[in-house]
Amino acid sequence: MKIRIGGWAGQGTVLAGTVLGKSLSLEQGYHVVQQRSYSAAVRSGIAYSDVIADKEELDELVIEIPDYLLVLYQDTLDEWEDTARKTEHLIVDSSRVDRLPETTGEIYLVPAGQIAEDIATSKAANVVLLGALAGVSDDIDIGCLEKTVRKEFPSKYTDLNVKALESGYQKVHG
Amino acid sequence: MITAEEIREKYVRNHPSPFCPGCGGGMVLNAMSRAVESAGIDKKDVVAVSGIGCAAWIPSPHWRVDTLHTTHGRAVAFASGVKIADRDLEVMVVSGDGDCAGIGGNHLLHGARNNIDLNVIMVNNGLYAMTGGQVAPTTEHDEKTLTTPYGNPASSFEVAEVVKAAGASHVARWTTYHMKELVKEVEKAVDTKGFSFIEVLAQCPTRKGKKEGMTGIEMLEWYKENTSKDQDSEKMYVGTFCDVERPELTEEIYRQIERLGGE
Amino acid sequence: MKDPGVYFIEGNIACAEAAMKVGCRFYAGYPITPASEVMNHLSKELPKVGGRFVQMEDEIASIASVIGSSWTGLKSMTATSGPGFSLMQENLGYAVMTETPCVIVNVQRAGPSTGQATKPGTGDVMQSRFGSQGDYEMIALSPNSGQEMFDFTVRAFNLAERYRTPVVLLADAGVGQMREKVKIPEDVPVKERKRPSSNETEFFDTDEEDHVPPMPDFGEGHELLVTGSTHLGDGTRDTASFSAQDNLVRRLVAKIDGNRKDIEDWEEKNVDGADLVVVSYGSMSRPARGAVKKAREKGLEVGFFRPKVMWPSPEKRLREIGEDSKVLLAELSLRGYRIEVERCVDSDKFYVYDRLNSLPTIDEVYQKIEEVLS
Repeated sequence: MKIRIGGWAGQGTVLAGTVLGKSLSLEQGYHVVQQRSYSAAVRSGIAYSDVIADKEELDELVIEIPDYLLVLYQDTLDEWEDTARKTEHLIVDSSRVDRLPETTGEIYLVPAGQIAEDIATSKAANVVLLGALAGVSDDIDIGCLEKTVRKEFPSKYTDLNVKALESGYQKVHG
Repeated sequence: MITAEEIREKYVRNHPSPFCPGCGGGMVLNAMSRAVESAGIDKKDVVAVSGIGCAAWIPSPHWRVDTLHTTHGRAVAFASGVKIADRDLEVMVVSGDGDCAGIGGNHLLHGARNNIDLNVIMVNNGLYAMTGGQVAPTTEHDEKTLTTPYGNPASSFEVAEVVKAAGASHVARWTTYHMKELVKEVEKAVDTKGFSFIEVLAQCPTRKGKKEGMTGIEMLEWYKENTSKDQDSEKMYVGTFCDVERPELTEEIYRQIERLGGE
Repeated sequence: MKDPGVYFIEGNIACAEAAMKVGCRFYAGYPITPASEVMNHLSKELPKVGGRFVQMEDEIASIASVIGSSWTGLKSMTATSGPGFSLMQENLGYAVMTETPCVIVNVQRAGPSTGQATKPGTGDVMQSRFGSQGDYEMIALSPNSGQEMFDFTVRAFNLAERYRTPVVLLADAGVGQMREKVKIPEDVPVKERKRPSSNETEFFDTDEEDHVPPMPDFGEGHELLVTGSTHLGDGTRDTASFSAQDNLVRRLVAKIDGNRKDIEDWEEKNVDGADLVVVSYGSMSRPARGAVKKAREKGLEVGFFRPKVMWPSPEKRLREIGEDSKVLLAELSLRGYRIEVERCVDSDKFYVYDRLNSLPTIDEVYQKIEEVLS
C-alpha cells in the first residue's frame, strides 16, 4: 500500500504522513516506511510525504505511482499530473483544487479546507484528507487513526483534529 | 617561599629542551608554573592544551601536568571540550601567535564570545618560527620576513583588542621582560571565572633577533624600552585590557543540566 | 531519553536515542543537512540525563571538543554530513593517533562539495577510510534501517571504547531521515574503555594481544602526554626515530586489522552456489535486497551480501564470493565502495548498478539483475 500526501510547504503534509505512518505502524502492525521531501526553501515549494505499508518486511522504499494520492494544492496537482493520471485513488482538497486531470482511477472530491475551516481552522485540511483516505481504503483503520491523532496533537488541538478526521471520513464513507 | 629549584622539580619534566638559546618559551613555562603554585591549584587538576608550533611545545612535554598537544590552531576548541566535560579541571591553553590568531583565529573569537573558563596564553614572537620565520598575522606592516622579502604588504592586528571586543572576561598583555607582572596576571587568569587571554610578547632570537641584529637579551631590553604601563603613552601598552564579569559558558551549561534534573 | 518501547521515528532520532542509551554524555556539533536532527534532538534530551551539549563554531571545533571531552572519561559524539566530515578529517586522524574513543556520525548526502544537501548518496565511503593523512585503519558501520541506526550507534560506541579508536557511523540521508518502527530495548550491551591499574605508566603501548593500551582520564594525576606527534609508550614525543614511528603506526593498524574477526559483520543470503551475488549497503541495500528476492521468486540463482561493517571490509568473504559467482555492486554513488569490491572480484565477473540522487525501485534494480544474467 503506497500513499503520497502532497501540497505546498506549510500545509502539514509531512505531519499528516507521520500520523498516518504511526497509525499504520504502531496501531495496525504494518511494516511502514515514511519519507518526507521538500525543497530547500523552508516555506515555499512542493512538499510531500510518502508512506509505504506492507504486511511483509519492507524493502521497497520508493513510490513510483501511489495507490492513493492525496493533494492539497492546485500547483502540486498540476506538477504531478502524470502521476495523478495513473493513480487508482486520487483524493483532492476540492476547496483548493478545481482543475483535475483525466484519470481512469477514482477521484474523490473532499472540500477539506472548507470543512476544516468550519470546524476551527483551514490548517486542519491535512487531517480531513486523512479521514477521507480511511473512508476510501478498507486497509486503513479510522479508529487507529483517531487514536494516533489523540496521541500526536497537543491536548488543546485534539478535539478539533479528531472532528476533522471524522468529517473527512464521513464525507466519502457516510 | 618556594625556590626556583623546587618549582623546576615540581613543574618541569626532565626532558632535553628543544628551545633555541635565548628563547622566551622557558620564561613562559616558569611564569605559568609559579602562577599555578601561588594560586594554590592542585596541579593534578591542571590540563594544558596546545596546538602546533614552538609555543605548543612549552607545555608539551615540559610542563608536569596533563597535556593535550593537538592540531594546528585548534587548541581552544579541544580545550573547550575538556572544560565543558569536566568543569573541575583548570584548563590552560598555550599557543603561538600564528596558531592562536592565524589558523585558530575563529576558535579564539568564539572562545572569547562564549566566555568559556579557559586561560589562554598567546606567546607572540611576531612570526612563524618553527617553519623558518614566515609572516604572521602579528607581523608589522612593511616588516621583512622569510615570505615577505620586500616587506609585509598586509598589516598586523591587535589580538588583545579583538579578544576583548569578542567578549572575554579578562584580557592582558605583558612581555617576557615583565616576569613578575606576568606571574600575577596568569594567577589572575586562573582565578577568573571566564575567558582569560594573556598576550605575552616573547623573544625569538633565532628567527626574529637574527634579522633585526639583536640577541635574546637585547630583545628583552627592547621590550623594556618600547612598552609602557601607561595607556596614554605612545609606546606599546602592557597591562590589563579588561577584567569584567560576564556569563560563563560551562557554568551556564551545568546550570541548565541541574535545572533539568540531569545531575 | 525515551522509555523502552516501540516507536515510529526517524533514523537520526534513533541514533541520538541510542547514543544516550549506551552512555554518551557529551555531544558537540554544527548544523548541517541531513544530519541536524541528531543534534536538535540531543540538545533537548542530553542535558536531562546529565550530558553536556554544545553547538560549536564549526565542525573542526566540534570534533576537537569531542576528543577533548573523551579524555575526561565521557563517551562523546558528533554528527555531520559530507562538507562537515571533510572538515573533520585532520582531527579524525588525531583521534586515531592519540587513540581517543569517540563516535562520528556521517549522514551522507549527494556530493561532491555542497552537492544536493537533502538527497542521499554514499560517496564518502573511501573518505571515511582514507580521509586523513598517513597510514591508519578505520572502523565504519553502515546501517540500512531505523532499527540499525539505533543498534549500530550502540555498537559504534562499544567498538570505540573497546579498541580505543574513533568509529564512523556511515549512514546516509535515506536511513537518517526515513521514519520506521524502532524498538528501544530495556538494556543495550555497554562496553567501557580499558582502565589502567594504579602503577601503570604506559598508556600508548602495550604487549597485550589486542594491541589496546589502557586509557586514563585527565585529572587523575598521571601527568599525561597526549600528542598527535609520533610518541613512545609513555606519550613522549619522538619526531625522528625509526623505532617510534614503526612501533606506533604498525600497532595502530594492527589494532583494527588484527581484530577483524571481532569487528566484521555482514548479512548474507543464498550466496553459496549463486550465479550472481548482489552486494549492497546502506539505504540502497533495501531495494537491492528486494530485487534479489524478486529474482529468486522468478527462479534466478541470485544471492545477497551486505556489509554492515564497511571498514575493515569483509575482504576475504568478498574474494570467496567473487571466485564462484558474478558480483553486482548496487550503490548510491559512482565511486563509493567500488574500488574495494572490484579488487576482490575478477573484472569479467564484476558489474555495477550505480545510482545518484535518489533510491531506485525494486524493479529498477531487478532489471539490472536480469540484464547481467541474460
